[in-house]
Amino acid sequence: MHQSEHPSEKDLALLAGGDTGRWRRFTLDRHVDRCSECQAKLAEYRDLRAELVAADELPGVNWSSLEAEMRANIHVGFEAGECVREARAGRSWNWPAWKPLTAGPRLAMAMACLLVVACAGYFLRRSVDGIFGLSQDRAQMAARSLPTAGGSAVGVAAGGVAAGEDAVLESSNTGLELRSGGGSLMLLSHQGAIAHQTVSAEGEIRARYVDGEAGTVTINNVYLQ
Amino acid sequence: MSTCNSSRAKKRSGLDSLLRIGATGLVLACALAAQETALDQASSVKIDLPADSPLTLLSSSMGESRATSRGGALVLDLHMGLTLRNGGTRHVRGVTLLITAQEFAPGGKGSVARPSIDVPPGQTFTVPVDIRLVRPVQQTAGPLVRVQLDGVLFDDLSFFGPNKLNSQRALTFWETEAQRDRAYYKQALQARGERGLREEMLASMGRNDRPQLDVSLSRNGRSTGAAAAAIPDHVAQFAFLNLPGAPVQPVEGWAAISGNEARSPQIEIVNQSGKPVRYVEIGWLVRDKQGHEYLAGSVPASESAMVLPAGQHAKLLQDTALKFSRTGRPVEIEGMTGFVSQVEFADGHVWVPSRQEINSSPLLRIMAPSPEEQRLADIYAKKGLAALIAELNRY
Repeated sequence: MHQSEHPSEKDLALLAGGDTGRWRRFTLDRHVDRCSECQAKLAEYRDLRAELVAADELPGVNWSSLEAEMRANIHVGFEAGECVREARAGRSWNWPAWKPLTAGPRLAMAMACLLVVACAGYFLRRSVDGIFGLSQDRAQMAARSLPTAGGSAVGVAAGGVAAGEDAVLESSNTGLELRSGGGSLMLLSHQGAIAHQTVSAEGEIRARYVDGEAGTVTINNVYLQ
Repeated sequence: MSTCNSSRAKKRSGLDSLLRIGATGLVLACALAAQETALDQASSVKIDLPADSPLTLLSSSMGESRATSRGGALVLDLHMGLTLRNGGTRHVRGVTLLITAQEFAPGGKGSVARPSIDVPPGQTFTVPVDIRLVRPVQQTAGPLVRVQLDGVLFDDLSFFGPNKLNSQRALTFWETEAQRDRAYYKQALQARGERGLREEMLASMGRNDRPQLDVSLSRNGRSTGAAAAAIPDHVAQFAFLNLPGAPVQPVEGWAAISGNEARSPQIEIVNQSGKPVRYVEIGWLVRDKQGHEYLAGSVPASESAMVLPAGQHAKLLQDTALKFSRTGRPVEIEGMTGFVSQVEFADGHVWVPSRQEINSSPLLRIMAPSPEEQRLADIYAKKGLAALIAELNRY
């Protein structure tokens, strides 16, 4: 095995102390399980950690000077990073610079996943938009046909008959579903309950079931308009 | 390293990458698919009870109610519970709530009814609201859902409420059926004892397995599928099942048939009673090519079109299309039968078929049980015969 495939000493030390993230710990554990060398190193780190805990004392450390040293190192790191960035900026986006990203099937997989996500989003949006795009247009038509804004619901329903002209209400043993423009939406789901459904040619479907706990009957109505 | 195989390590590295990409994709997909928010009662729902309502709202819970934004629509999954108190002086026998997310479009409005209850003055009861509605995301400000009282029926069959959904008629029919069915089972108990009542309950539960159709309902008598459009229409006549006690009798009727679709039913009726009638509903049975009969739906009188004086004729017209299927397969319509299932007189009294008329006709195995019969059978199934007898004796 190539040396580069081994986790770094830092990672093994962190793993020994239980200080890695979940995902990193998962990948490190998988490697260590199969690698006797790393198992040995990990055991050493764990032994060392156990000894420190047993000693129950920390070596004498000047914390102030350590802090100053760490801050200085961080500044140096930032400045070094800036130098590297400037050097990279002068380079074109050539193949070697992007090779790690494009190499292998990773990019293809990433693109495939994005495509799946985009398609799922499109169809989820369409399923309700199909119903709803129609609804808004028809709602405007129906609203225009109303004699008064404050008309009774019966009057509203009469004015709104056109609103449902392309919509289909479906009653099946799974529930009541609304379909329109290629989209569909389950309005009522029986979820295993025995339900009696009645369809009125006037544009209404009723589903009736007994409440399991209270033992009372509930009737849900949905309307085409 | 001697213990680390190079090719296996590469495979693992590739697997790690795939897992990361997959997990990221899954998270993104979930985020896109379910932009859900729990509904807040204060800002999302407005519960309107009239100021002089005999029912008062004690409490309400939103349960798992949530709103999901999908494109330009907001899908509202309502799982609410409204606890109401009977503040009147009479027993409440039924209540209907109107649930509105948007008034004018399909899927924007629903209602929940609770018939067959007996709530004395001062007592509380809960109405569950489990329904899904849809409304535009960009609709004007205000609550997402409005819950209104449409009507309350009392034990003396008096009614309170705006009655926008004709709840008075529906609740009165259900209460009349409930009184009929309780009397029938009480009579069975008196005449044939506990064994007779048990037999009736088992027979009722057995009828739960009656064949049911999947029905697609659309407006304006339009075809709901390409297959139906390809088959030429023909006009088929209704046969009628005459119930001797019905105050209204069907005379003749037709519907346009295309394969498994029936459109624009029209039925002529005559009022044979001595009183004016303001509402009639015809039960609609269809028969397939194998001779099986199913309850397909009902043909009601259209709104406000009906005031039928004694001895006069009228036509029930509905400009809708019903398409029938069973277990995913179209049910070709071979014949249709109609029968009078409900009549409301101008004075508010109602007629429903008697148990004797139902039991002595094919309707017994085709019709759905009444809400009260369904409730009594549920009590028998869950709590036993003693609980059922106690329930019958409450009335």
